[in-house]
Formats: sequence, C-alpha cells, structure tokens
Amino acid sequence: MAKTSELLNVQESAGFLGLSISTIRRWAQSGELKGKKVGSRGDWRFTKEELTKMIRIDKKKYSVIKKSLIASAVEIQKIASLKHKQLVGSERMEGIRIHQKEHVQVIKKLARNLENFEKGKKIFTILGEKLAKQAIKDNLSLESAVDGLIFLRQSMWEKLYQERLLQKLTPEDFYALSHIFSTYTDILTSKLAFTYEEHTKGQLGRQVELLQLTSEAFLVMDIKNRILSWNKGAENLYGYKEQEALGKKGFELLKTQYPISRRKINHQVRTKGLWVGELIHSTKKGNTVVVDSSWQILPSSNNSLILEVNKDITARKMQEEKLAEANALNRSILESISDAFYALDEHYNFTYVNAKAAQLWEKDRKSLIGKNIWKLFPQAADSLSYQKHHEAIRIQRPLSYDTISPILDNWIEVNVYPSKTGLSVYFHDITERKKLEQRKDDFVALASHELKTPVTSMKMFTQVLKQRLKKAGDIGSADFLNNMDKQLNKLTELVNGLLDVSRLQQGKLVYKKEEFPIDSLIKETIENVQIISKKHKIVFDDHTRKRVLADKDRIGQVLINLLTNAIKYSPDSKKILVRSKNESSHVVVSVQDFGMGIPKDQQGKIFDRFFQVNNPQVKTYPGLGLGLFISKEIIERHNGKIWIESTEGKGSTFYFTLPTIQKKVNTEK
Amino acid sequence: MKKVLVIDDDDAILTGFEFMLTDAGYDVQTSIKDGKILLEKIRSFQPDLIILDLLLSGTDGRHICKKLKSDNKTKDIPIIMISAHPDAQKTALEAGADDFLAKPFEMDDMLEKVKKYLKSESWGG
Repeated sequence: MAKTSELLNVQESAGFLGLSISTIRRWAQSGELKGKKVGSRGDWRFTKEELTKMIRIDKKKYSVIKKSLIASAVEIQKIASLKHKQLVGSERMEGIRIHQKEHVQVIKKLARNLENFEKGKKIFTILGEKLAKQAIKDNLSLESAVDGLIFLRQSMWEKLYQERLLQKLTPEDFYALSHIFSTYTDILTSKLAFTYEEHTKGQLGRQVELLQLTSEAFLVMDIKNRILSWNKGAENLYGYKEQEALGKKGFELLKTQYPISRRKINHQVRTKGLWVGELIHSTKKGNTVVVDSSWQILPSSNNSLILEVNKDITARKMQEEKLAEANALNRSILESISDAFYALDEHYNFTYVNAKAAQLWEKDRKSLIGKNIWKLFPQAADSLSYQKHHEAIRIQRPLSYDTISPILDNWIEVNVYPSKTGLSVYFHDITERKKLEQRKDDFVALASHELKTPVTSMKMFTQVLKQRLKKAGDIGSADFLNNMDKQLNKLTELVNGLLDVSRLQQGKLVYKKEEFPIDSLIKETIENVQIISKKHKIVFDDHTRKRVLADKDRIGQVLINLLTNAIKYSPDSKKILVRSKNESSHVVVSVQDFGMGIPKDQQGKIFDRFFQVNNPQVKTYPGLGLGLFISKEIIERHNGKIWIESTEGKGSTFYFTLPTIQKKVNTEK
Repeated sequence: MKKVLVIDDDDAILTGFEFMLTDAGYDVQTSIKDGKILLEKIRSFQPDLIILDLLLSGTDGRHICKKLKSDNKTKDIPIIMISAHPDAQKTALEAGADDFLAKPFEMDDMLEKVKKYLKSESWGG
C-alpha cells in the first residue's frame, strides 16, 4: 500500500497526466479512476500506478500515428536537423550529422512504444545512456545534445499536426499522447544530463590530479579576477605561497601587463569561453617573467570561474629577441656589403635579396621575393650557376666558382652556401680581375715563348760546338759546353714552371688522361733520373700491379719533381726509396730520402706557391719553389692526395695517391 | 745528299739548324715565314723534309702546313713542326704535320727524327 506522502492530489494528478483538473474529477466521480478521499473536505488522492493506468492505450487510435511516424522518421529527423542548424550555426553541424542515425532510431522506437508505456520507459532509459555516451565520445556539448532531442520532439509533433492526426484525437487521447512523448524525451534528456555530469566530474578529478603534477601555473579566479586557487606551479613560477595569493586580485599581485585591456579579455572569456595570449608578470622577487597565458571558463562553474594557465616562456622570449637582434644585424651587414647577396628557399624562390644584387640586376626587390630564380632569369636555367646551385643542395656543402654571369654578362665569383631551408648565395663582379689574369696569362705565355726562343738557339750552338770539339779531341772544352747545356736545361725548367703555375691557377692546364700501369711509369722515371744523378741509388720496392687513368706526362712530372727534391735535399746520403702500394680504391706512391728533413712548422707550407724550406743550418738550394705546388695541383686534379711525413735530420717521405681503375668482378661461377 | 728546308722567324735558330744539319751531313736551306719566298724556295730547292715553326699568333705556321699538305706537289714532303708554345703539339698534328718537337729540344732528339723521315724516302734525288 502506498504511503500518503506518495499520493498525488487532483491538481498534481492533472499535472502528472497532462490533463485538466475537471477530467481527473470526472474520472474519479464516475469510478473510472480509483482514488482515496482524505481530509475533512474529502479531497481525492491517487497513486501513480492508478493514474498511469488511466493512460489509455488504444491500439487502433495510435496505430495511424505509429505508422505515420515510422514512415516519416527520416524526414522528421531532417527537419529537426535544419532547426538545430539554424540555432547553432553551420560550423557545429558535424555533431548533428553524426547523430542523425540515432535520432531516426529514437523516432522509430518512440512510435513502436506508444502502446506500451512501462516497457517504453525502460527502453528509453537504456537509449538515453547510449546516446549520452555517443555524444561524449563525439565531443558534443550537453546543450547541443539536449537541443537535438528537443528539436526532434518538436518536429515529430509538428509532423503529426500537419498530417491532421492530432486533430482527430479526443482531448484525453491527445493529452495522453502528449504525456508519452514528453515522458520519453524527458527520460532521454535527463539521462543525457546525468551521464554528462558523471563524466565531467571524472574529468575534473583527473584535471585536479594533473594540476598537482604540472609545472605550469594554474590559477582559478572568479569573474572579478580574485584568486581562488593557486597550484604548486604558480608558487614555483611567482614565488608566492598559496596563502599569500588566495583572495588577492591576480593583476594586482602579479602586476600584470596585458596586451589588450583586461576588460576585453574578461569579455572574450565570457562570450567565447577562451582567451589566449602573452602576459608579463612580476614575481615576488621583482623579476619579470613572460608567460603564454590561456583563460577559460571552468566547466560546470555556472560561467562564474575562470581557469588561468600560465606557461613560463621568458627564456624562449629572450632567445627570440636575441635572434631578432642578430637577424637585424645580419640584415644591416648584408645591406652594407659590396657583394651582391640573395637567399633562396628549397624551391629556388627568392626569400631575400640585398640592395647590391637588386641594383646589379636592375630589378625592384619586391618584385623578386617569392619568385623562382630560374623562371625570373630563364637565361640562367642551363648555366653553370644552375648546376652549382643544385649541386650545393645535393652535397650540402658550400661551393665557389667563377663564371660569366648569364644575367649580367660579366665575370662573377659566386659562393653558394646550402642551409636546411635552401641556399645563401653571394657574388661579385670580377671582370677586372679576369682581364688582369688574362693579361698576365698572355704575358706569361709570351714571355715563356720569348725566353725559350734564345734558349733553343743557344742549345743548338752549344751542342753543335760540343760535338765539333769532341771530334777535334778537345774533351775538356766539350765538358764545359756540357755544363752550359745543363744550365740551359735548368733555365727551361724554370720557364716551364712559371708557365705551369700561371695556367694551373686558371685551370687551363689540359690533362690528357690514359690508362697505364703505374709501376712502369715509376720504373721509367727512375731510370731517367738515375742517369742524371749517379751518386744516389734509387730503389723501387713494393710494387703494385694496378692501372691508373691519368696524364702520364704530368704524373711523370710529379715523380721527377719528388725524386729530384729527394736527391737535392739528401746530399750526404746514398739511397732513395720508392714504393707503390695498393689500397682499397687507390695506389699510394711514396718517395723517401734520408736527408736533412723538414722542420715540423714548415711541413704545412711546403706545398705553397714560391715556398722554400728555410733552415739557416743547412745549405739552401735555389729555385722558384714551384715544384711541389705544381705537383699538388696535378695530383689533386687527378682526385688524389699528396702529403709529407718528415723528421728533421732523418729525412722525408713524400706520398701521393691516385685512384685505380676498378676491374669488373666476374660474377659468373 | 738529302735536303732539309727549315722555316722559322728567328735568325739565330735558323743558323743553329744550318750548323747542326750540315754537320750531320744534310743539305740545308732556311727561310723566314714569307709565303712568296717560301714557295719559290720549295720549287727551286725541292726539299726531302721541312722543319716548320708553329707560331700561334703572328705569321702562322699552321696555314703554311695546311697549304703544303693540300698541294699535290708538296703533300708528300714530311713536315716536323717545332714550337715554344705550350700545348702546340695537338695544334701541329691537327694542321697535318707528321711530327712535333717542343722548343728547346735536344740536338740528338731532333737528329733522330730527321733521320727517321729521310731513311726510306727519296724525293727529287
């Protein structure tokens, strides 16, 4: 038996069933609705069970409605979507679209359960939970989810009205139907709200845990910016303890400097729920800190609490400022240098062009930025510059080259520096230098030609005379002329050396590469040198059987140079050791003497142009100091290396390498 | 006696050749690089071998060489080109010369080459 407190009076019963008071009274008086009279005035009281029985389920009456709803479910859902969209705007349509299937299901379930209220309530409780979980998963706000259901109910009702199905019902049936509709949707919405609250509580709990762990400063403020919560991160960042901060106004405590007015920030937080920006704060010690700050309305705080999260970016800020200063300095340097400079991104688009470059190209700087260099200067597209720019990016190493600019038609020297984001390039006009070099080259060629001509006739006279004196039996005079001939050969070597250097520097030396066994060249050269110098015994050890692709004459020149040096700088010893050794992809040839050696501090310079070993204790040997310089150039042009190992007083060993020809390995078995 | 014609612009070199080749037993005549004189010389002297200087600027030995090698009357006369200019060997051989020797040269090397070209061939007796 129900307790009195659970009984409903006439008015409450009318509310419960959604009917008029007179209908309840009429039913009670006719005995249709079983109730209990209480009090002196004999007011009716009814149990909910009895009242629920009065929701008369007439299968015939609702069958048309049921059919109509099921048939129009998709249409109704679309109308509801449209209404919802008009309310929230199209940017949040995604959530509505996701739930259209569920909403069609809601309509159909409602239609099918019009006649079985008790079962329907249970079904909708389960459905409500399912919808809520789905909505949370899809990040739908509670408001949006509830709105969706309200619009759905409205649309169903409107549909039935348009079909004139509602108008055909008796007032009682109409109220009963209305009651079923609202009960079912109420179950759904209350289930939604309940599930959301549970979920939010859980989230807040996790957030609180995070607050304790994080190094960021978390402050909770009320709408007047009074501090209500102050975490460890805030304590660490600002130096104030929780009890010092609580209740204070945040902007007063931290002497906040805002980028925009505080009023505007508060307004934005209230209207949009979020504000993000940079703030400058003062710590307890008086230090200035820059923070990335985000303000948001705390969920379920009834729009009255703001969560402020501050992240210290002072160090980053300082770095940014330093970087900006450095950039400004770089810019001013790049603008003031006399070299032309430009920077390209990885697609060869200009990102920067200095004043000098723009001036040389006679272009407006603004018209260059963002444009592709090869499209802007099509005449450069198959130039050396095109190759070198691409090569520098490919090998990720700086390159330097001289070329006739296809854009300016002048000689320019170009330096290309690859970076992670593209290329930095500077260049300057070297036309004058090139003219001077050409003149020097012409002069050296002419001078060497002019010097060689008298040497040629002198050699002929000397040799004819020597021959005649020999025939006449005057061997002494013939020897004199032999010495004269040797001096003339030295003169020729000097002239050739000068010419070689001049041509090496301009890359004009032509190499005639052929394939030959390195050992035979070494043997041949040793034989030739051995004829001149009888005092030293030149020994060839450790042969390699490798072949090289090289200019035989030029490599021979290097060998002669190393051998004559070895002879020259070991006057008191009798042996010179030559070796050829095989290493993975190259041969190493060495020439060792047992002479005076070269001091450590001079070893690095001996391959320089015009360098001569300077040692006051030993006899110096005249010459132009070009031999090793030329040798180095020749070896390097063959992709080889040349170096020295030397101990003073014990002798020197010169090494050079040449790449070997790799024979194809026969893979057949 | 085999006849050698030497053509160069330098008098001292021409004199040197005269001594050298006469001592070696050849009949020598010399000429400067003047087209008219040269052709006259070749016609009257009928050399068995020509030693010709190649000068890349100024009066060009290349043209003389090409001319002699394209003329039926002279195309069989061997020509040794000489030059003090770097990389002249390639130019000389391209112009049609039979051989090349760089200035300054060793007397023995020159005589060896001369001997080689005058061994089997006989032109004009």
